[in-house]
Amino acid sequence: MKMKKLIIALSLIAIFQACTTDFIELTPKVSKLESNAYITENDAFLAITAVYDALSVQNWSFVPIMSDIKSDDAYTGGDASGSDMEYWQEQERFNISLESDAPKNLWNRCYSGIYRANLFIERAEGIQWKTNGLKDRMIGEAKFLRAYFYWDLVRHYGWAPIINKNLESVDAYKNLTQSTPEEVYSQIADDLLEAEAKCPTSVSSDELGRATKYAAQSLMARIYLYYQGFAKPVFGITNEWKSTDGKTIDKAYVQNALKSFINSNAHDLMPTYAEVFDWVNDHNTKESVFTWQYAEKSKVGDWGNIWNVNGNFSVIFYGPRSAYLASDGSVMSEGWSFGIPTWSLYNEFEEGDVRRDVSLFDDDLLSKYTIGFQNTGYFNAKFMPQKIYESTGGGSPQLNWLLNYPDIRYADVLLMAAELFLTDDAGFALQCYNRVRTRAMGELAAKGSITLDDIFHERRVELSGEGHRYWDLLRRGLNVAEQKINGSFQNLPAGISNEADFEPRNFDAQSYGMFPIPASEIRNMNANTLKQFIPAYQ
Amino acid sequence: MKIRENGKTEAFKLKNLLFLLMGLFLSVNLFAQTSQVGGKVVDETGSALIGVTVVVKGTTNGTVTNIDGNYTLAKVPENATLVFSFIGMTSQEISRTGKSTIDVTMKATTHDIDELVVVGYGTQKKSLVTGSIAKVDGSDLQKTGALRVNQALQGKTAGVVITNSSGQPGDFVSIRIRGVGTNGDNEPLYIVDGLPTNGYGIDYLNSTDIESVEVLKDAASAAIYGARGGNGVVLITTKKGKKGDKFNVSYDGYYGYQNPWHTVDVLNAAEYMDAMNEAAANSNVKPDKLPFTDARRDTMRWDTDWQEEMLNRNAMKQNHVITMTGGSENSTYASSISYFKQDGIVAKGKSGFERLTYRLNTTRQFGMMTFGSNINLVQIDTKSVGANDMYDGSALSQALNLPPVVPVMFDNGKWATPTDFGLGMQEITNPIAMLSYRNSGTKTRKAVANVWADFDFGYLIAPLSGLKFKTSYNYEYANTHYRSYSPIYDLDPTHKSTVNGVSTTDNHYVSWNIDNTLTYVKSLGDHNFTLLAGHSAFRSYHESLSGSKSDVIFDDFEHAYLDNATDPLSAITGGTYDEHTILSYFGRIDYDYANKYMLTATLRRDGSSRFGTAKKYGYFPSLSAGWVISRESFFPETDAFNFLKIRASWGQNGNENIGDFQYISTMNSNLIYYFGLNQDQVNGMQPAKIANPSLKWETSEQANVAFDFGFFNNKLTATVDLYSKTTKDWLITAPVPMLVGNSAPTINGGSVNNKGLELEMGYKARAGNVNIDVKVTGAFNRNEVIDIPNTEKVIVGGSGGFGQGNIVRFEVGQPAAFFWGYKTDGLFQTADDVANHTTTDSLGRTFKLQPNAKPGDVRFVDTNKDGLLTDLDRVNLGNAMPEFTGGLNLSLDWKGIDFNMFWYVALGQETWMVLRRYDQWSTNYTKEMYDGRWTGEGTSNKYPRLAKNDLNFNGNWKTPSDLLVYDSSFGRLRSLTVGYTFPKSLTQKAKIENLRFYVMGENLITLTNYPGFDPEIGSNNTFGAGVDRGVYPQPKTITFGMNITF
Repeated sequence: MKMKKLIIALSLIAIFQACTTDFIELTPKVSKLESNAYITENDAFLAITAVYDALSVQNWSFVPIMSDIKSDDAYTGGDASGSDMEYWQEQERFNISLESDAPKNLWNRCYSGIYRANLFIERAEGIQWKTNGLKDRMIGEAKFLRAYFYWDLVRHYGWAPIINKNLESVDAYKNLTQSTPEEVYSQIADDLLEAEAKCPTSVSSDELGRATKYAAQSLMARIYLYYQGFAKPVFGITNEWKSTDGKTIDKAYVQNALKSFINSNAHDLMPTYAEVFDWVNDHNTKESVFTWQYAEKSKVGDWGNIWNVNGNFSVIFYGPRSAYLASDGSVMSEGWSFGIPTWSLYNEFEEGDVRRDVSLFDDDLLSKYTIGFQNTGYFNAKFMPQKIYESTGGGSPQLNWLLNYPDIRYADVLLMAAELFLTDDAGFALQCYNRVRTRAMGELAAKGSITLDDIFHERRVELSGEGHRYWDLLRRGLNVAEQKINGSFQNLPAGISNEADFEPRNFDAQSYGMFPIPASEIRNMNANTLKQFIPAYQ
Repeated sequence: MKIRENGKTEAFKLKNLLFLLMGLFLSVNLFAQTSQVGGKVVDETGSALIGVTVVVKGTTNGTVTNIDGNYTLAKVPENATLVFSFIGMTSQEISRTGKSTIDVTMKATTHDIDELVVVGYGTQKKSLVTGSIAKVDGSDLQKTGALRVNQALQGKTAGVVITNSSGQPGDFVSIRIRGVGTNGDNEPLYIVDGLPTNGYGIDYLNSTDIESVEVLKDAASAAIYGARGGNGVVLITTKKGKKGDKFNVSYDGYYGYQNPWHTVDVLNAAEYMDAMNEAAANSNVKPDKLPFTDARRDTMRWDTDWQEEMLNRNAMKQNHVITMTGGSENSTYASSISYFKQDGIVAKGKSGFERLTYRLNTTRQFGMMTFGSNINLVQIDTKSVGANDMYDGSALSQALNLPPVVPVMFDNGKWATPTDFGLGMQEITNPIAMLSYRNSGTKTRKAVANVWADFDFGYLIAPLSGLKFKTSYNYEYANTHYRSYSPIYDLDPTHKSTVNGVSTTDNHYVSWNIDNTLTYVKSLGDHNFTLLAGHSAFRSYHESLSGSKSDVIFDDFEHAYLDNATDPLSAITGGTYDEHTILSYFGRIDYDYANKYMLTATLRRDGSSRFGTAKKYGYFPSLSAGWVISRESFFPETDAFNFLKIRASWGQNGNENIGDFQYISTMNSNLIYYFGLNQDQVNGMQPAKIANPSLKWETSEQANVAFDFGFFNNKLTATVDLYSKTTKDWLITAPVPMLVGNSAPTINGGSVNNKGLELEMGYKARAGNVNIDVKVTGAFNRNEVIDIPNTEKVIVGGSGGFGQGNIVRFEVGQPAAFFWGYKTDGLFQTADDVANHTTTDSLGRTFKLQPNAKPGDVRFVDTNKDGLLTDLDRVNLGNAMPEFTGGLNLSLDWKGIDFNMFWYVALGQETWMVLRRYDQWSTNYTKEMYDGRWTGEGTSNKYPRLAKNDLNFNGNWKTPSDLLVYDSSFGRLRSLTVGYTFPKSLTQKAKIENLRFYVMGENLITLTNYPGFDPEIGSNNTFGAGVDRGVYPQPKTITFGMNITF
């Protein structure tokens, strides 16, 4: 009977305990709740870090490599079957499906970034700030990054919804409509002007990678040139680039910004071109104006979620497959032979230009390798995987390349300055131009006078493989782009055995060289909200 | 001295024993009058029955009838009772009362319409059940004893579709009760002796321990399990001893061999080389650049059959169980110990399942209280390889794709790979070599215990008769421990590792629940009531710990522990915790009038930790009624048609199988970026997803109407069920626009309807000396999506072959989870065909659809006639759920020889078959694909020309189309058993109660047109079902076994 009482007592205790609603009120043990995640300055730092993370997302659709593939600088390449990364090939062929993954991935990355930036800006108000000026600085960074996402949106899609405040419900998003390209450019102007005003002119060595005033000004110059060369003629915009409150970012504004930047000597070129791309320096040098940071430290190993990779995943794409060095027979790091440099690019380099061998890896250096699709015998030497830097610390080495991406180099800034001052201050323009050219080719190669064509040639050889060429072509006019892009599939070297890999392609002027709005996005919005404005996708 | 003394003691003991035995002998002779009894035993037709057991009740004195049906039994006390028993016949007890001749007519066991059926928190007479509950007896499961519990249920109950994910030992078995109801979790709730568990969790059960399995199919029956009954409930009851039974020991065991039931024909080396050259030539490769030149062909030494290399023929399978049962007046016990081991038929040594179980079920009555406990201790060791995967880790997929010209190993003992032959194929490489590098295993340790006490208040005072209180406490602890070792190796450039490492993961699962129920049974005249009120609380939590590290000081699996790994920078650790609670109240009223009219009503209220404050509780009602027409006076009393009952039910259940904390905004702190020269890692944060505070249960509502028939005194029984089940307020992650900027919230929305017809028929009879027992089941299910909560009313997902995304779609008006792809219309035979493949739209404009195609390419259909081939042209190409499933179980026995045959049939399902990695030019082809290919005008209209690369981007294979969709209907002889039970007259001399030997075959015959490894392809993921990438097939097994009872 004792046992009976014990059982009854135990059950009663259990019933009593279990009957309270507390029993089914649980709180998470392994994550913070949003309600207490934005309080300290460190919380703010973690929140702004999330915005930078969105910038670095590659997810099978890294913009620089996709841009080069579309330009006359690179072919898609890939596995010999010719059916590897078809949604990159679609871009090369200007035959992009409305369901294609590339436009989806990029759209997703941009709006994730915008969401995170908006969230930071809203939550900044509730942070208990203690350090003077820190709030302003971080707001400046958030605006810089948000401008970057809108820039990627406007140059790829043109018409895009502007979201400057996170909305209350999912349904509210479903009613958003697209702004015109001109409106998106204005939004970018707002953000960049604020970033220019609030970001510091320099950062300490443990803050490298964070946005500065000069990064904001350089991005402003890049977008200004694109606005003038592409947005105005293609979209028929007549207005100057200006912010929503009417502040104009005209040529003079950008000229002044760049001139004061250059005169500040805050940045400088590295002594030699080879040093710029030496992995030891990892693009965190005095030449680096804005660099996307990648590292191997998070040891990612999940191939099912490339979105979360924190290494530079694009690196594996650039190297040759199964390659062995001729010099010592050692096996090279495995690559996937994408982004194959074109013969057109190879031929662009003048004799004696050291940049050719720094930029293009010649297969003469190999004893054997597996020939991929659209093989030209060259690989993008700036970013191809290097054996000694292969990650060994857990995770998948392919996903954890530490190499940073040099988005804005000082050389680019100098060449933009040369272009901007070409007609207004030819001396300054020439000075900027020659700084870049003579570093690579020696003082004797300095020019006495330059044309716009000279500057574009210099841009092509200086910045090859870094993702800029395509946009440079587009801003010279759709007809120029068409001629150059189609041209890289013509006049192939005689005697090659893989001619079949280079069937002619045709730049589609009706697509403006841009992306469709992803069909799935249109499906998930309310009817008649998002539209395809670009003729090729209607 | 000592020795002598001992000897003396022994002698003394022996003398005492002899004396005692003599005394016993004398006492029998002295105190009981005994004499001989004899007679003849016949069946209902009057023919003699051979082998009928005749025993004096309560003794071991017995015999069996001879060839004429006669028996004689000596030394039978005057007042004894004789027990006559025979398989398939109802046992009879006849009191001797002085007679010396007793003739007996045995009657065939009739289908017992009034057996007890386990319902939620109780039992009920079958004739009074108003819901739809399918019962499978443990003995039926044991007829197919070599199968796992959930597999053995296949085809035994109408409307329950059971699909093996693959033939890998221990792989997941998915169960769908009455169709697919949601785009989320479709697995039913399992309750083992009162403890709720999930489908993965019942593998610890040894099938001979099972007394019965009940499947609650309709909502009314499952409503008593409320929030978790939405996908149906499977109740499993384990064996208990019987009060007053003598001590029984039995051994059941078998040993057998497994083999693949077939292999897929692929090209041999010569054909392969032809095919590669043909493909290259078709892709504009010049004749002197073909991959296999004449010179190369002449020196080709190898012709490897990769499937043979991967298969483990005659893989062993064995099971041994010792069971002890018995009872006294106040207590019962049942205890078993079992050992099961199964090697996989693929990847020798790397795929297998080994299980050891111990069970002890006891009850003890103390006056008004009966106390009981069920304790189960289990250890399971598994090793597995990828079972249906086209990338790394797969087993047979690699074997299908590898060129036969590549050997397993070169003469110098070095592994060979396609890369060595210039045939590099990315992830695909020598699978034998890869397996040699894979060393891992999972150990599961589990304790499942249940203690309960039952209080019968009627025992105290008569007015409280019928009032019972039961409290039960169930506890489950499981630990799974995974450990792996990866060596340094360099197979080919994509398969290499420059470091070795260990990795280990430890998971702890604890769940308990407490149930308290009060039952009151009362009859007032013909009015019978059973009232039930109960309370239940459930809690489960799970904690995991994982770590990996490189540079191990030993180069083997045996020493693969973290302490032996030396590189501190490589260490990765992780740990998670999650928990889940449910608090419930429920009640049920069962009423019947004269066992003719029945009415049952239930209501359950559940509160779950998975929902926010405002939506924590859900109510789940049900109502059901039944009418036994055959008990009405107007119903003619004939044996030909003796039983008829109509049942109808309606009810609602829930489903809360989503992750925890979906209603609240938690932070994701895995948004990593690096700053500074030292690249310091910063873990950025943002909300993990858009939260939805108003999240609530998914509700499943179902109506059921059924008829039960009994003919020929229940020799023939039949049940017909008609149902309509609507699952609504799905817990789904509805697609949201990406411009929301964060992951979609879990929301409620969408609904799907399943309508079906189920038929079960049973026939038990005896013809001459043969007992016949036939059971046939059949079920049709129609499934239609009613609503989807987005603008397009569409959800897409899943993936097929390389680069084929979104091949599975939910769409309003269509069946759930159908394969979504292009229709094809044969092949282009000529250039004119290509030019003529156009659409003319309503404005009279004509569009060329595939202008770049070449003869021999696939012609896709512009189904919407808009002049373009886009996703809008993709249509429903079928789905993975069968339209009809059925089973046929036939048992016969004759003079100790028993025969059992079980067929399972699934018809009307489709499979998306991508056995070949078409994105890699050098992968091998199946013979079927090669023989069916196009080689010139008029040669084929089925499979396109071979091509090295898809230069004109026609996407012959890559395009998701009906070219990849195959009918995978099949019929399978799931098991065939022939056994022989030795006559008791022989075995009893050796004190053996029962001795049977048998031979059993599993999957001996498979009838299907499906060309892949196996038509049975399941998945626990709705978007992954029915995609075949070279699935690990079901084994064909022959086992030899015996049962022996003392």
